[in-house]
Amino acid sequence: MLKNFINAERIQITNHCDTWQEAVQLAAKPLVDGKQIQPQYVDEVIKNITNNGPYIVLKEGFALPHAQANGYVNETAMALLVLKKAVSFSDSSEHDVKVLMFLASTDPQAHMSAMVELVDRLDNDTWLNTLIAANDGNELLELL
Amino acid sequence: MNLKLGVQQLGRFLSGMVQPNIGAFIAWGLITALFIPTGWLPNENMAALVGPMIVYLLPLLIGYSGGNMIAGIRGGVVGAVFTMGVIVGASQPMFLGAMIAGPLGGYLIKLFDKAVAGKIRAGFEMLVNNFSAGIIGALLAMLALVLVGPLMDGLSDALSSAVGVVVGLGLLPLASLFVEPAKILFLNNALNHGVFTPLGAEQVSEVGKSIFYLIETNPGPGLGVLLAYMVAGKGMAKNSAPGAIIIHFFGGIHEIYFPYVLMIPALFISVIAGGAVGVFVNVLFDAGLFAVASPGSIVAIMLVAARGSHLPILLSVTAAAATSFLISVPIIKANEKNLTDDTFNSAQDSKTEMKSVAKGADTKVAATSQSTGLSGVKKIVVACDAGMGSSAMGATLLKKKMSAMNLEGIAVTNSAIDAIPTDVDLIITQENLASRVEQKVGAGVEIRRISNFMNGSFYEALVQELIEGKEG
Repeated sequence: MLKNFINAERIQITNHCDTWQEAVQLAAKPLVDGKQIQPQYVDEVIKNITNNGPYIVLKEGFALPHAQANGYVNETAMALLVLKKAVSFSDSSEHDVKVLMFLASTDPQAHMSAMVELVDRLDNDTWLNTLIAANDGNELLELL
Repeated sequence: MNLKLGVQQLGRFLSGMVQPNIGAFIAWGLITALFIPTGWLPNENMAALVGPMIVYLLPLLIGYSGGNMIAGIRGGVVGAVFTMGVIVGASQPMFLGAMIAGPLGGYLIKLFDKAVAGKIRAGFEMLVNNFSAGIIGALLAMLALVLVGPLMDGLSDALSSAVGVVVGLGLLPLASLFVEPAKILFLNNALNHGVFTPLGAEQVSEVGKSIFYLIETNPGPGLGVLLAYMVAGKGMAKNSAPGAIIIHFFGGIHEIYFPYVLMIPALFISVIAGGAVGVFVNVLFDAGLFAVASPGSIVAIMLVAARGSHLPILLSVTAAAATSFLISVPIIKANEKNLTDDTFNSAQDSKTEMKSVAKGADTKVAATSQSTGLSGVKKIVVACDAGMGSSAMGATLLKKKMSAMNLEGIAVTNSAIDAIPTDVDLIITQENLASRVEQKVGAGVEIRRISNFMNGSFYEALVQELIEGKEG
């Protein structure tokens, strides 16, 4: 269940971010504050995207920033950041992203049930648009 | 045709298990040559490493590599557990046992995985994977422990009595027929203590020297094999041979050349012939040692050589090395193809060949049909860097599309690029990661590039192609 890994405190809406690095940092902040992850995990995620390219942009508008845990993840958790104005993960507009689902997992299987659910939602194109149109965190939590 | 293919596959397979671990053999050889009581810098503390390394570390590495070649890391783990049973069950270091138990363990876990593929509920994979590997590994280890001990004892007794008979008949050079393979099976101690040392001691007390001390300790046959690798080998085997020669010839640690023989089993012929020629020369000149040479280094041998035996012994070592070298060179040349560094690639090759043989098809036909279509796909892996987020979602979406289009019988998993299993038929990865995947799996496995992992139409088209491949 998605809601096992995410709650209202881990959902943020903001107007815009200058760079994707900033967006990833911001999305991860609730998990760093809540000690679900160590700050080094965020660095790992940024390093992963820098090294391997924006493959974590899974669908136009949606990114799943994550990396291997390497011991920096204390608890499997997710955090959601919705941007009113898109931030791009590359020079190309196909990597413009408005919804970031930051993923931290202690092992490759722990979050599989949530992934299955997320795939179901994402496969439906309108779901992403309703997320982007939402006004506050509670509304977003309802949508998950 | 199939026999040749089989021999090639076996050779490639053995080298795949041994070659990645030569570094560990060299580490052990160095430590042993330096620190054992008869070594260059005897040191009791450091020498404590010698036993555990040869008894546990090296066979476990081989067993792990063998399992890993068959069924990825998971296969390696089961192979290593199985090997542990063999190690504890036997009283000698078990290289050969590891070379059987490792791949067999990998194969068995693969059979299990095949049987349950696609039947495990999402989210339970980890639980089932770990417990199945644990239970199968434990059973295999227990079985090996019970069976291997008596088997090895029997073999050791048989070899000792065979050598006893040959010696009794006065056909000493023929003893090499048993001695050289026995060395590589690590039964040399049984032979030495059971046959040669008592006979040698008796002779020394009568005539002051004995040839029996020279039969197993002659470093010539191993030297010939290593020299041949230097000249005719390829890749890591070639590059590591000079270092191995020093450890073997001057350090007297014969075990260091065993992996080079095991990589190409036909080299048993070289060491047997080399050994026989060495013994023959020693018989001819009536050479002998007045005490046991330990370790079997040329230096130690010279130190205990009887008066007047020095020159004949050097001649015998040289003749043994030359014989073994001359036989080894063509054998190594013929097996050159197996000696590539990238054992993964070769495992891939042999896999492709095996498949086409299994299908009863000509290799060429199978190869072309593999690169142009998607027939016979049984296992698909969606791969990304971490193997947990993007690829998990991609695999889930593909599964969803497959069941929506009623396609069954194909296992879909996700994986980190570094952990892609060897038995996969089709890999899906993101464009930016494709070059890393290619590096990892080599040619021969179909790779499809996707712009983003949640691209629904990509998966729909792929499922359509899979359905057509199945029907066609």
